[in-house]
Amino acid sequence: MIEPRPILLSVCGLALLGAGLTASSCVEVPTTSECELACSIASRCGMLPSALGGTAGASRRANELECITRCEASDGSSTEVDSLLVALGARAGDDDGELARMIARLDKPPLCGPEGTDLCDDLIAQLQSEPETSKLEVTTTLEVRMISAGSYVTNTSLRSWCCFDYTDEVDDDPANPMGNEPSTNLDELESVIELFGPTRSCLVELRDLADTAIGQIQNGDAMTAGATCEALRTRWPSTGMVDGNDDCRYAVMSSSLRALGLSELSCDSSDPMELDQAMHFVASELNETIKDWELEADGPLVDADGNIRDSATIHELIHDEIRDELARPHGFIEEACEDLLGDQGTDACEGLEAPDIKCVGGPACSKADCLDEDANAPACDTSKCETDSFPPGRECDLLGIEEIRLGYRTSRGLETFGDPITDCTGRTTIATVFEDVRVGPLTPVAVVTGTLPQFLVPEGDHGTRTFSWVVEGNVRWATAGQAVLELPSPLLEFLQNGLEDPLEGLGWVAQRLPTGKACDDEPGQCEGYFNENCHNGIDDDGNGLADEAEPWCDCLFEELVDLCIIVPPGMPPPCNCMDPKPQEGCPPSLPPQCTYD
Amino acid sequence: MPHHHRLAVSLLRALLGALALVMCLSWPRSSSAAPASAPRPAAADCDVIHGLTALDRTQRERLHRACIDGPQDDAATYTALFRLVSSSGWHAGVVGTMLRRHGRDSLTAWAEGRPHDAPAALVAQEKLDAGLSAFAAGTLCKEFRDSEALAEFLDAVGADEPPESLPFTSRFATCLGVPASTMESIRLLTIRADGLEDVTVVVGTRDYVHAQRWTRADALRLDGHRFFVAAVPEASPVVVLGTHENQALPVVWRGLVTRNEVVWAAAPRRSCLDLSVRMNPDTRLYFDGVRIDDGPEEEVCAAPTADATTKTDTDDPLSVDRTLAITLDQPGSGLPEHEISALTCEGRGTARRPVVRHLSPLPATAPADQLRAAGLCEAFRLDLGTPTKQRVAVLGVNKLPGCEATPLWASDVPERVRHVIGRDVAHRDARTYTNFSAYAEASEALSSLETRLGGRNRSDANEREDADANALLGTAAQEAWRQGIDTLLSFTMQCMPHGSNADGEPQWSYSIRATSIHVSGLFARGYYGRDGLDLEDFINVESVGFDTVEQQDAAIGALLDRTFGVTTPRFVPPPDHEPYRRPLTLRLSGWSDDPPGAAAEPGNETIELRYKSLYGVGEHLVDVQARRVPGSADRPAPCEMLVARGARLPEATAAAASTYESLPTKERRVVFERSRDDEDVSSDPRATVHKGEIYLPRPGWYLVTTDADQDGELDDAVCVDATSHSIDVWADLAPSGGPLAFASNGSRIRLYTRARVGMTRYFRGGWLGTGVSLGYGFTDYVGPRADWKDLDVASREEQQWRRHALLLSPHLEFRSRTRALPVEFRARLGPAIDTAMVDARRVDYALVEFRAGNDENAILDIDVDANLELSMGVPVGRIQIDIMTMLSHLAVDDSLVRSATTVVEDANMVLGFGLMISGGVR
Repeated sequence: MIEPRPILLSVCGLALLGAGLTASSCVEVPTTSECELACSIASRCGMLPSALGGTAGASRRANELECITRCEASDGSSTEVDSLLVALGARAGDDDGELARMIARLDKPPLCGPEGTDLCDDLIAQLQSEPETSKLEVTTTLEVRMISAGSYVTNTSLRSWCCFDYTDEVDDDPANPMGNEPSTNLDELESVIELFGPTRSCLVELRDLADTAIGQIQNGDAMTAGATCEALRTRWPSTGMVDGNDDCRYAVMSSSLRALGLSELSCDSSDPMELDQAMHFVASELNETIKDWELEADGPLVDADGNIRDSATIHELIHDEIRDELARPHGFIEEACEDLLGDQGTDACEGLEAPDIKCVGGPACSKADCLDEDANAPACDTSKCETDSFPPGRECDLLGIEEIRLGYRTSRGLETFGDPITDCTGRTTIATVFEDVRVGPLTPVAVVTGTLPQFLVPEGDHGTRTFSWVVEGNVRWATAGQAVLELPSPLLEFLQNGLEDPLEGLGWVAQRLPTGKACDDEPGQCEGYFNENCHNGIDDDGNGLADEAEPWCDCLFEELVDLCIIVPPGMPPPCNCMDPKPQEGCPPSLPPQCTYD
Repeated sequence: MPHHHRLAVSLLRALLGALALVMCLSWPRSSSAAPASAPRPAAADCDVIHGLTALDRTQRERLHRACIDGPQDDAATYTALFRLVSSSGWHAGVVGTMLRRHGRDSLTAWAEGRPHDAPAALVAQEKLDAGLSAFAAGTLCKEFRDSEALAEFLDAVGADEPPESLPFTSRFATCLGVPASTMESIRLLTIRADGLEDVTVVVGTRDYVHAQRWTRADALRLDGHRFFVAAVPEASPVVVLGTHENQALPVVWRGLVTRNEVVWAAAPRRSCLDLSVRMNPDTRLYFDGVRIDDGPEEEVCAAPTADATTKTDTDDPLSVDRTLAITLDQPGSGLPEHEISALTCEGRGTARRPVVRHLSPLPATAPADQLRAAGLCEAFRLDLGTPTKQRVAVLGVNKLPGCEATPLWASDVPERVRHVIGRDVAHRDARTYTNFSAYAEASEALSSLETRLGGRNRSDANEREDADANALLGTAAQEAWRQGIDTLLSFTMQCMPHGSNADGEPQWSYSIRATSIHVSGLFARGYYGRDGLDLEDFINVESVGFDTVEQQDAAIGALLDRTFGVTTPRFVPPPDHEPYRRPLTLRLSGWSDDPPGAAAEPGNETIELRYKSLYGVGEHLVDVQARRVPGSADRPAPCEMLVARGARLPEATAAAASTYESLPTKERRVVFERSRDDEDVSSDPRATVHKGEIYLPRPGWYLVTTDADQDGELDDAVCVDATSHSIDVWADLAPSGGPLAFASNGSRIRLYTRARVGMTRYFRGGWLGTGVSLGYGFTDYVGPRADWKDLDVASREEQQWRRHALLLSPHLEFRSRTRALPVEFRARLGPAIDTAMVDARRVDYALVEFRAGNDENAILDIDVDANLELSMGVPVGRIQIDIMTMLSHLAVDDSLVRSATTVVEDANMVLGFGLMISGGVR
């Protein structure tokens, strides 16, 4: 409840009570309506607390009231106050108040949507550009905090993780940065299901040929076995030009299968022993691949008869398997999912509604906002209320992280980092505070350096294994006063990569590591087929893996890009993956860039 | 006296005169013949015997009977007569009265009650009487008649000079035929009798008393002079009484004759006495045994008269104004003291008996240098009347040791007593104040008397002590009685210290004691009759205590009420002011006319008081009567006349009654019980004190009245002032801040604490006052900036600054001042000059505008506050503790809606609750 504004006469009347009163008491103060409007705009754009009013830690409601109080006590005739009122749309002026008026017309809190966010960002920029209002400093004390992947998931997208579905995978969580809507209802699993059948046929055919050759050798028919080997070698496409109907058209893209060297297989029957070893090797590798790729009989993709299951069954089986993996005992987010889903487990996901978050992507509500029960529509993200975050100490140890530099990136791409933080394993808090940070949409970023643990290093890789990853959190509006931006440990991105891409989850391709610092700084430094730097022997992006060890050097990733499942780092999505698609239409598809010669 | 009674007396006188003339002409001249010219004394003349203090009552009655019926010669008569002739004074002169009354020329009373052989003196006297006529004619003892010694004697007598030689000796007696042996123990007393009608010589010896009366015819005539020659036993007391032919009073000589002697060879000097006596008609007045009033001749108790002690308006006093020639000569002239006495009759019926109304001696001798010329009369005034008003005199005032250092001044007590007796409604019609002249002598005697009476072990049977006490009374009380004083008062002031007041001045309590001697009662009861009266019955001692000098008048009034048994109650010494929060203790002194020991009537056990406030609430400020009367003690006009509390002035009481009836204020009644406290119980059980407490509901003057007899008229009234201390010093402490501090733009006061010490001076009535206070105010501000200033400084932590203020505040105070509630309410309001130093050390230096442009951390700020305090308190002993609500508008010169826009803009409304300590029940 806003207190009635005492009239000016009462002020002077009270002043007259004292002896020797000063006329300075009788100043012209802004009207209550002016102050209410001005402070409403300031509050909606996250400019409170600031010199306009409010105190750090107070609720938005309280800050707005305090702003009004300050406004009402201000000398409305001063140039600065008058200009502020004009800029904030409370007083008629030139066109300076247009932005504020646009903000006022928004039907939702401006910071809860990209349009409002832009308007507020522009309003702040305008205030700083005008000489009468440029003195107004709307800054915040920003704390960038790295938390564990589990905490981050729990705080931001627990439902999508617990109820994993490739149709609405983890990328579609409500905390989608800046309110970007999910582009499509693309089902990544559905997109890759067509790969399963021919690839299994290819692999089974090749394995069968290898097994046949092995039998022939065991039967002493080396010559026949050599012919069978020759048939196997010729069955494997030897060049990048693959018939679109060839069952091995996908398998040939896989770096791991190409590493078998089937096209260069030696089928010399004169040396049955060597031939026998080669066939055993091929058969074994193919069996392993079939197994690793979940293409064996009675697996999640193939029924007992060796036929590829229908897509619905695959969906169910895959989803259950991933959900179980996440929510299983001692799983990644077991406790959080149990709290969310209860005893029904993932069955509860069917009726589980999306959380009622009124300000998706908006600034996180402060504690005071969370406690303000009267705030029916706070212009902040209430999903951050009543959550606990834990530092990623254990994950630092898991990932071999040795140093972390936390920072933020403005909407204009300016990045600021704090001092490096070492020994994150033993820290209870991994955070860096930045003073006088201009308010606006900020993205928390971190540069994490360390040495890859052994489980992330492919066999045979001989790189330095030192990495320098870039980790980002969701972009949020950093409100004035105090703001906290959280970003997850690199483990989250690593896990997320495996979940959003079915082939990574099924083991068909190597799981991507977090983005390397060099790739983040310069997309041309990203290592992958698209930059044609997979054979230079250098860890170009600095993520710890080089050349063939780099997942993006696997040509299956190009297929995944074409299927709109993933987007190469530092590059836009393919035109046909854009939603909406360009009105002028997409250009004809380019031939595959990935070379697997 | 009735007219027919006077007529009978005149006829009786005429008959007696005719009878005497017949006897004088018809009776042969003889020694036993009655004198022809001497009037026979009336029965009333015998009454003087009742005043002979030398005799006891029996002797007086016997002698009086002898005077009336004729003398006897028995032993009792001897004893009485011998005591008379042996005593000083003229008292033996009554023998002459007896002889004259019964026409006898001699009387002899024997000690053994029966006659003896004629004593030598009588034998010699007979021979002398027989031979004197021949001697005068020259036929006998011619040589003596012609001797030079006789001639020189006669020459000296003729020159009124003492003769150098005396011819009447033993040889002369022998010559006339007295045997020489007889004259061995006889001496001749020659009496010059020029001008005397008769001479009576009374001689007393161990064996007999003889009285011989000669008339002028019996005298020895020599050369124109007349002489009597009496033969008297040597060294025996002799009294010679001569009745002068021109004088009303006899000439008396008294002495022992050890050798031949001549009396009155030179006539004794005489002096003039202007006697002025005022007395009742039934009183008999005597001078040296001679009745000098013109009253009836019957005995004093012959006819029924009014009781001497009963004073009625119809008993018009008589005035006896006479000029008397009394003897007054040098010592050694044989003249006994004169005595004036007055008799009256006391009692009723058969118990009637004469009593001495007055008895006082007058000197008959004086040193030569003090002898007055015969023509210079001494005034002697005597008031023996029974006035309608009791006469009261103050004998003296004595201050006991310890009173010297007190402000009590005792010398004015008589004047205060005069004021009370002369003006008090209960005294002025009943008694009058009179001066007591013989102060020094009487006071000394009374002081001795008091000392003697003060001994508890005094034995009434101790005759000697009684005699001494009587003598003392005879000095003081008798003198007072002579002056017509009924009651003598003696006051003693006692002063007892009891600590000091707050200023260190010693405090005193006083007690005034009155010793009263009811002289009229004493003498009316026949003190001179030696009846063994208990003197304590006539001496009354009362005392009253009081605490301040101002209460002295009231104390004296109460004391006199008790002394004189005034039943009208009186407020005794009332404190005229008392803090209104305290009960006011009042006492009413009274006197019950119930006989001691009688069961107290219920009505006497309680007295109802009624009282009203002289002013309604708030009238003090507008009623002109309530304003200070110049020279008075802040007392309203209706109370002025009630100030002289020693005297309850009738007009004051009437005015008080009128005022009381006209007062519109509520009447309150209270019943006082008779007090049994030690301090209120007197030795006289009839003295009562009713004590009680009244509760005066609010400050101001109250008129308290009593009408004990419920006759519709006030008996007494008193004004009391329920006071409230005009100056109150107080201290308060009240914290505030936080949610109790308000400003339109949000108060930043985290803590506001104000401590003040102040003084309030109240106007009359105590409910409105003004004052000033000095205090310290501490304000701790915490909060954000209050307006859009210092825009270049983004959000900051809350600023904190402190303000240390010196508060100087005049104020106006209202105070409930009523006992209607057990608590007291106060409201105080006023502005305050708020001079403060703002401590801005913790204010960010970047907030330039918020710091009001001050780089320094100490910033001077002067504001004006408006304060209102409401409190409710109760007195706790000497202090009063109030729970206070503070409502202050701090810095009214700063805008309340722009509070704390800088560190020196601190307008706030603060509400605080605190404590106040002030003066308690005062």
